[in-house]
Amino acid sequence: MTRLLAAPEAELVFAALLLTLLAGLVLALLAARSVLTCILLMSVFSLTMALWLMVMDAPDVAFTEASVGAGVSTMILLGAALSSTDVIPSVRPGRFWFPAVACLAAFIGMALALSDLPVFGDPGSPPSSYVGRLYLEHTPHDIGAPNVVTAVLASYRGFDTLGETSVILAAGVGVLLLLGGSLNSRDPVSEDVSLRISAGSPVLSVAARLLIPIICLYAFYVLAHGEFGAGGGFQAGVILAAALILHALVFGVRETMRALPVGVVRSCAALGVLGYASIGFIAILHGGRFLDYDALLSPVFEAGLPSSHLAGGHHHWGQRLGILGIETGVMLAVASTMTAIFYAFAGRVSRSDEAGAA
Amino acid sequence: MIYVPGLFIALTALWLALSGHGEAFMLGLAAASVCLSLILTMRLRLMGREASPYHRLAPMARYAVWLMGEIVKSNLAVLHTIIEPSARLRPRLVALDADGRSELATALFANSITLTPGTVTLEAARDGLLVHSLHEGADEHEEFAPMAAKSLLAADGRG
Amino acid sequence: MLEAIAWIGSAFIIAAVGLSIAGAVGVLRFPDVYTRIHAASITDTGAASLMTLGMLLMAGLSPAAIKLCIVWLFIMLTSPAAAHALAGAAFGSGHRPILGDPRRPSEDET
Repeated sequence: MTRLLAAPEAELVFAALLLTLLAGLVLALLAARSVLTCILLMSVFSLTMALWLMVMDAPDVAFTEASVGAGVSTMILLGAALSSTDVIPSVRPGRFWFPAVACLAAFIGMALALSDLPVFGDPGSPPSSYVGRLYLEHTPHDIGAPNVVTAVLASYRGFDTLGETSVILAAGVGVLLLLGGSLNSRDPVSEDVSLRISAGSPVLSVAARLLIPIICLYAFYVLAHGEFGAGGGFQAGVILAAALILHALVFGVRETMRALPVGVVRSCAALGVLGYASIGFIAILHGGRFLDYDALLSPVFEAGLPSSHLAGGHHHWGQRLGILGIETGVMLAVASTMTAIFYAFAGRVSRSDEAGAA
Repeated sequence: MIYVPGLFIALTALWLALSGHGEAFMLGLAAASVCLSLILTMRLRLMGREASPYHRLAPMARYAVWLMGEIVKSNLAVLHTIIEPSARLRPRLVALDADGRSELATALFANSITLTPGTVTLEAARDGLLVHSLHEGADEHEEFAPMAAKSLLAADGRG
Repeated sequence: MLEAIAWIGSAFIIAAVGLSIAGAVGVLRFPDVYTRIHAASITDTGAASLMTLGMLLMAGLSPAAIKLCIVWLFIMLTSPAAAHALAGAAFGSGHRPILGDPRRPSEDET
């Protein structure tokens, strides 16, 4: 591909523009006096951040930022905003000084520490000298996945990722406990008018019917191709949740709950983490260590499989299947947790409507 | 039901166009993903004419080519209005009849109106559309008649 | 030859940037929500299409070209639905559109 803007000056100008935009968005956020404005500005901030991460050559993180930050969390925050007041109370000047001084002190401290940070892309910096370099050098032989990010996330640091997935589940459980959502799917949600966009418009229902199957397929596509490029279980889970939330917004959350009941969704969130951990235990049962995917398949069985295209002479089916398996667990956990949280907010809104009407 | 095979083919084609990995393992994943998406589509009660209008791809493509021309024309018209708003800006509301159309045809008509700058569909219902237009038009029914007829032909196969 | 096509592609992208700026100017100049949606739809349709066209020319015959076409189709399907949802929400929550000549106070408030 021809790159006309390959000049480093052009990239520098683009980076400077993006950073200015990010700073401007932060100032706009500080000045905003309405919750709705804040949520939309944060969504714009996330999208700009995703662009910035692309400039920094981190497509996996950019993808996560765009789908989680700008996509699903905006939807969930909008759901939360509907059950609260819109205007942010202004702060009295007397309460303003201490946080201002604290922030300024922290800023000066960080600015002083800035000179100790390595230069961007410095090959001698700590992150790119020790394990980082080791991962880069050994991934083609050890794991065989073309995308080193996935190799590190799912295989070398599989245990950390199990922790992250559990954190998502725990956070979801915490939100559900706070909101007090009922387990019974037939119970609370009676008429969800508030969380629907223009009910009954054929434009939206046709667009949703057309797009939801495609979005679902795209989620599975992102899951399956995490091995090759940007993507993986987290992004796939968020995209699947976005498809379900779109369904709930257009057809009403009751219709979504009929297809995927609250209990099922909540169980799936736990099942995702359980499936992830079980893959680790299967490796132990086969004589390996926890989450050691090389031990997943017996050598005799693996020798019978067609050679994986990834490695010269080596078989990496254990790694491939293990990575895909845990990514599926992550996808299930993330998608179900997001959907469960959305269900809880939607149920809450319709309950408060009833209380208001009564 | 021609909708299930139609959607199956469309989703498979989308996967193959995006993926570019032809080994058996990835094709197996593709088959599993397409089937899972179809199951979800049916479970969410979406399967039908609107979820899978792919049997009407050829007339829709012909319509899209015509629509692109309209979009270019109206882009220029709105650009002109941005340059001198006070001389050209005459917002008005137009009620259009959409009776006797399928939901797909109504949505296609409404989306075409929104897609051409200068007109946006405010409200859409099964029997009619409420359109906000940026410019003064000679006769509203003359103005929207070609798009109404062509979108009906593309979506429902009759003029 | 390839270099020339890439230059034509970047010309399209520069034209798209111009259209986006025009759309933004329109959003600032037009009087109410509904007229502003019209200005923004220039960015949605004209600028997005020119941008895709430019990138298609720069990408040439490659897998990226197919993905660009899919992205363009996705924009063409979603942006009218989003604009309609926005306009419908504004209309449904009681925002009256300014009708007729905005220079004169309108007499028919329907």
